[in-house]
Order: sequence, then C-alpha cells, then structure tokens
Amino acid sequence: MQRRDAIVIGGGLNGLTAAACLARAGADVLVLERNATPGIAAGYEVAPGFRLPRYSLGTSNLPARLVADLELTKYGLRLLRLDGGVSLFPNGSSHASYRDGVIHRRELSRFSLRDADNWTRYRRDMLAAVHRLRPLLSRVMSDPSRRSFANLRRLLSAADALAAMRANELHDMTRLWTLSAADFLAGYFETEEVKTHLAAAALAGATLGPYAPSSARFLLRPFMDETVGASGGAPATVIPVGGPEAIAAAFVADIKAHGGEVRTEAEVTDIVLRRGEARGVALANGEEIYARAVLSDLDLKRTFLALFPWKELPEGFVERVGRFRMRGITAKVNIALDAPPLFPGVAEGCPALLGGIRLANALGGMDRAIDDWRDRLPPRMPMVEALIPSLVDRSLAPEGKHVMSVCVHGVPETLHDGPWTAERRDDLTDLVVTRLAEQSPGLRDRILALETLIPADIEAEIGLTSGDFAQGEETLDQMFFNRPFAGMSGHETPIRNFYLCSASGHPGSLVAGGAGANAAAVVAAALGKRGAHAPA
Amino acid sequence: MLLPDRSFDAIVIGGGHNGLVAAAYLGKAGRRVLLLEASPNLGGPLATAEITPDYRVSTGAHLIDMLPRRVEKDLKLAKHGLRYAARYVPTIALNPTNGHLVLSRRKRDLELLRKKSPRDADAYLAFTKRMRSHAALLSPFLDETPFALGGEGARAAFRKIVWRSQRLNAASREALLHDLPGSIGDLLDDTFETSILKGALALEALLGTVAGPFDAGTVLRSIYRKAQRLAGIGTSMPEGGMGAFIDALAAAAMDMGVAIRTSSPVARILVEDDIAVGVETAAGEIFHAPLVLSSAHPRATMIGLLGANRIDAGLAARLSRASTRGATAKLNLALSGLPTIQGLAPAEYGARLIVAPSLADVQEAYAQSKQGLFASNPVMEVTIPSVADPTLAPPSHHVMSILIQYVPYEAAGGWADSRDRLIDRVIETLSIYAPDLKSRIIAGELLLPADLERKFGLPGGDWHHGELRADQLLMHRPVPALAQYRTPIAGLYLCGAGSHPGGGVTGMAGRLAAKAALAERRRA
Repeated sequence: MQRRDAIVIGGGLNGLTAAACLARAGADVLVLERNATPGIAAGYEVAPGFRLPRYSLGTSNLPARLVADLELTKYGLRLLRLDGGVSLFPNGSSHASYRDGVIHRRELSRFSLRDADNWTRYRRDMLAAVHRLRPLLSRVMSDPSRRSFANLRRLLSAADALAAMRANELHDMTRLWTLSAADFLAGYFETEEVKTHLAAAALAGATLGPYAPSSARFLLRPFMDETVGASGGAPATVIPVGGPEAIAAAFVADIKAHGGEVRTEAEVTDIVLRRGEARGVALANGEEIYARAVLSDLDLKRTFLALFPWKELPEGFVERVGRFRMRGITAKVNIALDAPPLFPGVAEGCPALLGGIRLANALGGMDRAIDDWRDRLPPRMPMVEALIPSLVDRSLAPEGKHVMSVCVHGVPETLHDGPWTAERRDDLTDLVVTRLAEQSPGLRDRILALETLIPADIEAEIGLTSGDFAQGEETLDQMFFNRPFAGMSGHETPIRNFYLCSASGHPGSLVAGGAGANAAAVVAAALGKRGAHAPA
Repeated sequence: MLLPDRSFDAIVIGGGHNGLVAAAYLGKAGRRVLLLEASPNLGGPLATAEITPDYRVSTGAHLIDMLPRRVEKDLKLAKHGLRYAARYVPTIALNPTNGHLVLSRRKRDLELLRKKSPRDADAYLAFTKRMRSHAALLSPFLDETPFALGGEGARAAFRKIVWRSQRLNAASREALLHDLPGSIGDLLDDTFETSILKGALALEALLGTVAGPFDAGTVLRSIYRKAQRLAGIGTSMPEGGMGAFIDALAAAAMDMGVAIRTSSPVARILVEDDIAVGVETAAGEIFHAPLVLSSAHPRATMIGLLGANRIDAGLAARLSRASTRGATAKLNLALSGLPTIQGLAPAEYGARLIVAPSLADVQEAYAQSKQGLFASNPVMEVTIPSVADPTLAPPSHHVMSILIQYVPYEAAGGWADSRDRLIDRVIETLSIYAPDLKSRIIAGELLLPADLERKFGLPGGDWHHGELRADQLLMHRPVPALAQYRTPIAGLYLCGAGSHPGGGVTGMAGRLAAKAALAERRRA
C-alpha cells in the first residue's frame, strides 16, 4: 500500500503554500483539487477571448516575501505591481493612492496640506504596528488557556514585552486594535475624501463598517506587505503576467520540482479514519489515498461538517464548529467590454487608474451598507471595486477590447424576505452597472457580456461556506488564539494526523498563504521533516 | 498675608458625587477643604427635581447599584440621612406579547424562563456564573489606583495579571479569552434562544454606551460594569430620589469640615512654577491651597481650567482625541395615577423594567442612531420610583423615570422639531405595555444628550466623562499620563468620572484620587 507523507485537500493559496513548504521540507506531498484548475484567482472566459479572474478582483494580496521564499519567479512567475487604485466620489472628485511617496503626498495636498503632513506620521505609525504584529502572524498560535510551563513562560514574556513598551505606545496600539476606523483616522486626517479612500481600501470585503469598534486594525492590511505592497494606504494592485492562472501555475511547478504532485478534478468526499486517526482520504470516484498527515485547505465548516461522520468528532465539537461565524459579503461581476471604459473623473493617462477604481460612499454610507448587509437587505449603496486588468495585460482581451473585474461588497448570502431570485440578481447587476456608469458614461453600451456571481454561487463553485472569502469572519473573537477557536489555533485538530491549513486558522486572510505556511511548519515537525520554512 | 477663609489645605472643583466623595475623604483625613460648585445645586445630574410642582424625580440616573459598601460605610451615609426606599430592586424584562421575565437566578423566577425555554434557563445560570467569574478577576483592579504603564511597576503588574490568570481553571481561562474580545450580541446569540432574554441582557450591557450590540468591546464593558456591581450595595433606590443621596454626601462632607460653596464656577487653576497653588473663580475670587482636585471632565480641567499651554502638546492632543460621546436620554413623566402594565403583578411595579424585546430591536435602534435618527422602537429602562417612595408625588399619583438608549447627540435635521416626536414615540412604545399611560400624563421633561452637556458639563452628553472602552479604561483612563490621578502640575489631581474606574454612581474616582493626593502630600 502506497502511503504519502501528506495530502492537502484543496488547492487554494493556503493549500498550495502548505504543499510547497512541505515539499521543500522533503515531504512527499499530494494536493487534491476538486476543480479543473487550482482555486486562487482561477481565470476563465466571460466571453470568447475575454479572460479574467472568475472569483477575485485581482491578486493584490500575494505577499512579496512568499513569492521570494518559494522562489516562484524561478518557476516563471512575473508580477506587475501597480499603484493602489483611485476612489471616485459621487461629487465628481477623486483620490488616488501612489506607491511613490512624493507623488502620494502631492495627491494628499490637493485636499489638505495638513493631511499631507500627517500622512508621514500615519505611514510611520502603521509600519511600526505591522512590524510589531508580523512575528505574531508567522507564529503557530499556542493555546493560552492550556496550563503548561511553556505556556506560562510565553505569557510572562508577553507581559514583559508589554511592560517594556512606552505608555503612549501601548495606548496607541490599544487604540489601533479597538477603535473604529473612522475614529482612528480622525486622529490623523481632516478631509472626508482622504479618510473615505483609506477606509474603503482597507475595509473592502470586511464585515465591519468604518464606525464599528475594532475596524481600525483593518487599516493595517495595505501595509502588511511593507516592502513593495503598500501604495499610499491602499494595497498595491498586482497583475501576474500571462493571466490569472500564472500564479497557480508557478506554485504547481514549484511543488512538482520538489517532488510533490498536484491532482485536479479530484474531489475528496471523506477522510479515511482508523481508530479515530486520519489515515488518508477517499475521492468521489471511490479511490482511497493514504497519507501520514492530511491537511485541509477547506474552511472550518466544510472541513468538519462535510468530510467527517459527525459521530467521529468529540462531543460538543460540531456545535462549536457550527458557531464559527462565516458570512459571505462579496459578489463578483465579470464584464467584457468592446471598448476601453472612460473615467472622466480621472485625468487622462493617470497611472492610478491601472490600479483599479473604488466607488466609495462617504464613511456613513459605507457603514450603512454593512448594517444593511447584517439585516440581510438587498444592497442599496454597496461599495464597488473594479479593476481593468486588460489595460496592463493586453493578452486578456481581443485588440481594443477589455475585461472588467468587479467586486461588490455588502451582498448578503441570503435575503431576509426570500431567495435570491433571478430578478433580484438582475437588480443587483443593474445597480452595479448603474453605479459604474455614473463614473464611466457610456459604459452600459460597451458591455458585450456580463456575469454576476453572488455568495451562494461562490459557495457552490469553490466550496467556501456562505461564500465567505475570509473563511471565517475576522472579528477579534475569531482571531489569533481564538481562530478558529481556543484550543484549536495551532492548526492541529481533535483528529490525530489531521490538520487545518486554510484561512479559518491563524492568521486568517491577513497574510495570504500565512495559514498554509504555519500549518506546514506544524506538519513538518510532526513528520520529522527538517522544519518547513514559514514565510510571512 | 493670606486671609484665613481664602486659604485651605485642599480645594475640590465640582460638587458632583465624585467631588463630594473626594472632599469628604480629604476632610476625614483632617484636611481643611473647600468645595466649589458652579451651579446653585450640588450633584449635577444626580438630583431630585420637580417635573411640575409636587412631582419630583431623579433628574439623571435613577438607581444606585455600584456604590461600594465601603464608601457608604466610610462616609457614614446612613448617619447623614441616606435611606433607601427600595433595596435589591429586581429587573423585569417586559414582554409585548406574553409573559414578562424576571432576570434573576432565583429558582422561582427561573421557572418563568424555563417555561419559554428549558435550555435557556440552564444556560442563564451558566452564563451569569461565567460573567461573574470574569468580573471577579477584574474587580480587584477597580479598587486601586491603576499602575503606570512604561514605568518600573508595569512589569510586576503585568506579571501579576498572568499569575492571577493561572489560578483559573482551563475552562474559565478559555471562556475568558473567548468572551473578552467579542460582542455582547454574538455572545447572547451563541448562548440563548429566547429573544426577550437576549434583548434585555443586551440593553443591560449597553445602557449608557454609544456602542451597538454587535460591536467589539461590548462584552468587556459588560464585564467591567458587572465587576463594578460586585463591590456595590445592590440595586437600590434612595428615599427622596438621587438628590437625597447627594444631600447625604454633602452632609457627610460638611460633618468632616468641608466648606461647600455653590454658584461658584472656577475660571482657572492657579499655577506657580508648575505647582498648583489655588483657583480663581469666575467672580474673581482667589482661593489658595497646595492641593487642587478637579472632578470636572479631564479635558475641561487640563485644557479649560489649566490651559493647553501648561501641558505638553502630546498630552493635549491625546486629551483632545479622547472620546466622550453619549447616546442616552432621559424622559421624566408626572402621572395622575399608576398606569396599568399588562401582566405585571402589583408587587412588581417597583422594579427596574426593561423594554428591549429582542436583540434586533436593540441593533435597529443603534443603527438608526448612527444616522442621526431615534429608534422606531426605542429600547429603554423604566422605573416608577413613586411606587416605593410615595414622597415623590401626591397621594395615588406617580412619577415615571425613563432612560432611553440610542438617542443621537445630533439629530438629522436638528432636534428642535424632533423632541416632541421622540417623546411621542417613547410613549407610544410604552403604551403597548401600559395602554392607559397616555391618559395619565400630567407633565413631562426630556433631557437629550445635548441637554446633559449643557446643563451638567458632560461633553457629548456622556454620563461617564469618557466612553468606557479598552483604550480609555484602567491604566489608559483618561489618558496614560493622567491615569494615576496626578497631573504634570504638582498638587493638581483629577477626581471625576473621567478617571479610573469611570462613571456610574460609585464615588470611587473621588475616593482613589483623594487617597493618591494624600499619599503624595505625606511623601512630600
């Protein structure tokens, strides 16, 4: 009987990262992907000859360190890093993010000299906070509720680290982690456009509005990739050369080069259990594959509620999994255009447009959109992000034509008063096109093809429970040692030899691939391999 | 030469309950103390005032539940006239459809809940036990001056917290780590299924805050309030309203030799070489003392009375960023008789009545307040103090005191047109429970957050002189540099609700500030 070292269920970014790390550590690893292509930014044709990522806006959160550590460039990956996009406001004004600090300050000074001055302080404070946070993200979380000598030592050293901080430093850190984005930004900036732009870039896809306490920490997100990723407070937009599949292709090449294997159209239906231990997986076609360790890149709920017979799980466990909050909030609209879209609100030739646009409501409107979502109302004024990757990569659309990748945030998975009927989907699509057309006159007439995917479609196609891209809401009670919940934050699960490597584990979606790398380190240690590298 | 009646050992600015408590403790320690209050009356929002002649009610807060037994005893408040019309006032969640719910761990009361949901009755016992255990961990910190961050004591203090946490068993520790960062709404949703129970517990946790039920930090706040209650005397109603409590405090202070002057607003704090030497009133009178304690809002004290030029720019900026917002209004009604609340037993009319039928109602009220609207279905805490205390109204007549949660500081379109609509809305909502309420109303008085600000110097209408949230609690309150009550100006101390442990009728900020001031003087 052939037995692998490790099987990874699901070829999402975390699954591929875990596999790449394990393969590098010398493990014989097999990735099993249900769909025809691994999941991240899977490309597709919205119309013949028009290619774009089917589920995601782009790939803006692929950390440069991950690319470097896994030597993905060696396997053919080339990334174009662009500016962080431009926010377009209903009153016709706009505010853009630039990677070049001088240009970005000049952009800010169009609104307020004071804001331009404070930008330096803001950026410095955010980078300092990221610096402090980073070691926590690449660390496997211990369970602080468990009593052990090692744990006590960790807690005491954490206490000492807090004590060593200056009073105001600790106060500022507390503010960043507990305040609302609106309150936090008000401590730096006076202009509504500036604050809205920063909040919109950071809170896109989050389940907290800018007035919600603890939403300020999302402002760190654009600064996570501090070397190359930050672009004036928005995440730099990243476009892979060769289309959306180029990233997955590089991962697959990397895994293969290190002796691993990636199999597509291989749907895992069950975990093979012997005496309560995971021994392998069973595929939809009846095949069983055995391994010393099984990692799941599926979210917590799908992993445990779909792959296991519930009676094999410890008492109370299914209920805890059930309580893990997952709610989709983002819909995707894919558009083929027969001419380049015009945005009169942005100066012609402005490079910021390449990084995408955001139709941002004022802070109050953003907040209301989240309240509506919470009440499961059909969106009225959702936040809309749009990227036109064909402006940069001409191979994505026929000559003179373009593709537009659109994310709509604030779309509930289910509606309070009934199903998502065809009519309601059309209303959503129409709302999005109308909002885009307000900034881009004539857009409607340029549309050749268009497709809308609501959270339920995303769940059906790529298995994310409720269509939640974060694989679990990132509220403070579902982060760090509480992710997915206390006692399971170390990627190990109640089932021996079975590990969680998806973003349902620490550090969630905060660092793309982070959970995969952390889980790989745990598994490599368990397999006795020479320590997987944990990029962060 | 200094005139003897112009020179004191200590001056206390502000005659709210914290100012009075601070003055009394200083007097008790043998200091000659002068207390200066700006308005003609002591107590600020803690007062008993007439709604209309012969109908008296507590202006702001209407119950005492966090006053530490120790303060009550130290200041001999009973001797100085404090009587309670009611002790251990029960809390009842009013149900618009069927069966009100008494929130209590008593078997008899739990049966009511068990009828709705046997699961919830068990969960209620576990939940209250769990919150109590969290609160017990916090409560020692409420009884002491916060330690200074970044200082020598910080390492020992943080380590002490770790050691304390080791005493908990694994389950309690896990529960604490899970609960602490979360929202009360999520926690209640995870724990209970009965909507009336969830609504009432949410309101209890959120009353007096601007945060919504699903906001992070609301469990922390709830635990904090619970910890304050642990040391308190139990929910009580002073005979004669909250003004009587203030009268007793004032009597205690005067008994300890404190000189009290009302209608004497302080214009500035006098400083020589970064040392406080006294105060000057708006009328130009000058009083000298080596100790000045201010119970005014920290920002009003440090920037208004002292002057921003006397403190460093960083501290001034931090103070100006400190958040002080209120979303709780008060409606007081004079009634020609006791309204009939359907389904409420006669003995229960004296209870604290909660009107928050579900979490969704609480969330909706919050969402509307963010848009500058008051709720379509307001959530409220209601008492009828005259049931237990007939001195408040003419025979068989009554007064009703209503705290309305989530009333925005600024109304969309301005408050001028909205005041009456808010009153109507509140009365309509209460009429669901008491259909004859409307016919019994003789007079009413509404205090919006902005009224509280204007009348009592509570910026933003915040009852607590600064929101009770993680960045403004304990060693962060009001800002780290001022968390030990002392200020960069030697001899000047903060003693109001803006300091640890914050608002609520506890007097603890006054007590701890007096203690800190006395300790420092001894050392000097």
